[in-house]
Amino acid sequence: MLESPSHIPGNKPKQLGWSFWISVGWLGLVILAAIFANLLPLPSPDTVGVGAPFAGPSLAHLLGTDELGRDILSRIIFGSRVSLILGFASIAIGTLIGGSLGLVSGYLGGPFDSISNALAYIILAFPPLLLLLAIAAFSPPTLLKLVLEFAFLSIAPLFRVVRAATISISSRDFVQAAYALGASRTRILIREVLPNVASSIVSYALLGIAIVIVGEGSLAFLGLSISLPAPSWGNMIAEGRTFLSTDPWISLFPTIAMFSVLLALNLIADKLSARLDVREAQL
Amino acid sequence: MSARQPHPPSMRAGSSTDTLLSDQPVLEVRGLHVEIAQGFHKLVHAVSGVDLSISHKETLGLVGESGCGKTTTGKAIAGLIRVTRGNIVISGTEVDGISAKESRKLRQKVQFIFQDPISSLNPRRKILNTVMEPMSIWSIGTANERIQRATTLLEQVGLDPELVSDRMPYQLSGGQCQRVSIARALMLSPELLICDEPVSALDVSVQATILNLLNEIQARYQLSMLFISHDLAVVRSISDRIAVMYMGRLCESAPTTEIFDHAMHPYTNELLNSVPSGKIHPPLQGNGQGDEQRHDSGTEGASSSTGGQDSTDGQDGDNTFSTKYASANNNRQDHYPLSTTDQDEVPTIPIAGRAPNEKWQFHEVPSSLAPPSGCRFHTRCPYADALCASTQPDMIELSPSHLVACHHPLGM
Repeated sequence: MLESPSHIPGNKPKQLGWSFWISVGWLGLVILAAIFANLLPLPSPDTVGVGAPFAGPSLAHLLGTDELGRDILSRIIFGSRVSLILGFASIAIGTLIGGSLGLVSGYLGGPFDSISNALAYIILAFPPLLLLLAIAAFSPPTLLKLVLEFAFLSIAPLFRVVRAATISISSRDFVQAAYALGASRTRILIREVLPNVASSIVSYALLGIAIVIVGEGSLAFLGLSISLPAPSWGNMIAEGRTFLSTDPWISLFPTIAMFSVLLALNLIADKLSARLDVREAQL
Repeated sequence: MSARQPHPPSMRAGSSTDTLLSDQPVLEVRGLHVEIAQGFHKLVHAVSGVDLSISHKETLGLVGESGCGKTTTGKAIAGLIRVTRGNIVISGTEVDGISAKESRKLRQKVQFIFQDPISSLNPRRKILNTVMEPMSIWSIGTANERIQRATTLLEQVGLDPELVSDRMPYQLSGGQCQRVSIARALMLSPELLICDEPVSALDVSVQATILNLLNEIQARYQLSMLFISHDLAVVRSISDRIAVMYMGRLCESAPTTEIFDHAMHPYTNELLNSVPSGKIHPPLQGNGQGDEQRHDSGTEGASSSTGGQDSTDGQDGDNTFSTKYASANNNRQDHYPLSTTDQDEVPTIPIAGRAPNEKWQFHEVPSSLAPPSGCRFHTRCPYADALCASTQPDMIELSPSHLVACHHPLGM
């Protein structure tokens, strides 16, 4: 009638681009390899002397062997299980707890918000690595313990990100409009607020996984991750550092593995947040 | 549109008096106070004792400068802001002291149109779902019935359901988003529509079409409206009655033509003088012109409704309306000239035997953290004396349905 909607621009959502799909492909490949590692034609990662020690990359051992003659490719693939399980599981738990607390806290405000925010500050004030070292000093680390520790550490940062996003969304008019229409608080939280903070949750959680993988690497480097001889990327890099000058590939290949996975996670997070952001993506 | 015919627009100016007899007011506000804590010790006195009453099918315009508490009043009525003191009665039901469930129910009767059209729609929801949301909140009807009603309402607010249903809010213009907001507000058949500066974020030509639409749906659904705005030309074109607010209190309340012709409160007078154009004030000759303008707007509303999607019809509407606004909106300043008034421009309307105080000079707008004693306008009023500084004036009916809160009303 008055403003004909015919001039509505036919915007298409922003394309994710090739870097996103390559990253997804690589991450998918790594995950599949980790899951089906037992089915792959690989020598056992813990068996000593499957090849000559310090052998460089060859057809028999694609990425070479380490100082004990173990197959590096096999150790990287089996080692990826530690990094991936740790990264995904701890962040999943952290997002569930931190995210829902942040959502409720940011939306309700008031004393509940003040208290939980203060608690988050206190937890954030601890240097995380020091905390992990202190715990590891008292009880030998296992995968489950590490998952729980990293989950605990990820709650506070995720809480703060989700809370901030929730506060900014909650003050928007459409939230008030839903209230004026008689929607309950739960409904507003789930139907109006959550869809709008979901993108920041997802992209921040992906970055969180990357941070946890690095964190495990740091712990392993200090010998405080899961115990040898079970492989993890971190302890492989740590073991190989003695031979850096003579046989660099022992450290180099697990480093490349970790680097490529981190890069993929970061790229995916970056592209996703751009794609899910309403303004940027014209969604 | 059939509802439009029995109520010719020219008659609507008198509708407030007609319906006063018929039944209780749709909205009754008594002594509304809203105080908002700022930090530990400070208290913002946003609204300090506002009395309002809106009858069936009446449009009350609430005007005042930025920060005077207009929006806070509106949001308090809609239940979006906590009321500190005071009574709000919505179609006979006292809001205070009812259960959360009842209050949720009552909230349906009062709907709110926000200033920012884009922000008032969920950016992740398609337009059709946004409009259907009210029915799904209350689990009314089947999916088909919801779609049916939403489609009908989208048509009634002048949008083509086929084109916009699957769009996202960012794909629509501000005016289209505002139409969607209006459709959503109408879904639950409210009795009172609170419009908080619904057109001030829009382009001038679009403002006119939205005002036409509001006029039209008001007649069709027999709504009462509280129309909050700082734009006098806009308020004038849509209101039956106007209430002027200053620093959380009402100064003056009167029928639209009366307030534009015979402003009695010095603040109202300043406000009218501060419109840069000069076409609004000095007063128009007689009441006829005001009615004529109302008539214009009314017929446009009718024609655009009968015209349906016909765009030329809307164009006509645009022209009449926008020229009217253009005059008032040209050179609009960021602040009312109240803040730039020179001493030379002190209003010279004589009050009973007194000239404006010669020593008067402009003062800053007082802080609502510590509002002035007595009459809140006395720090800026050219006529203020000791009485104004000490005693708060009550709203007194100085002429029929013209209430003024001033110790020295103009023209008396």
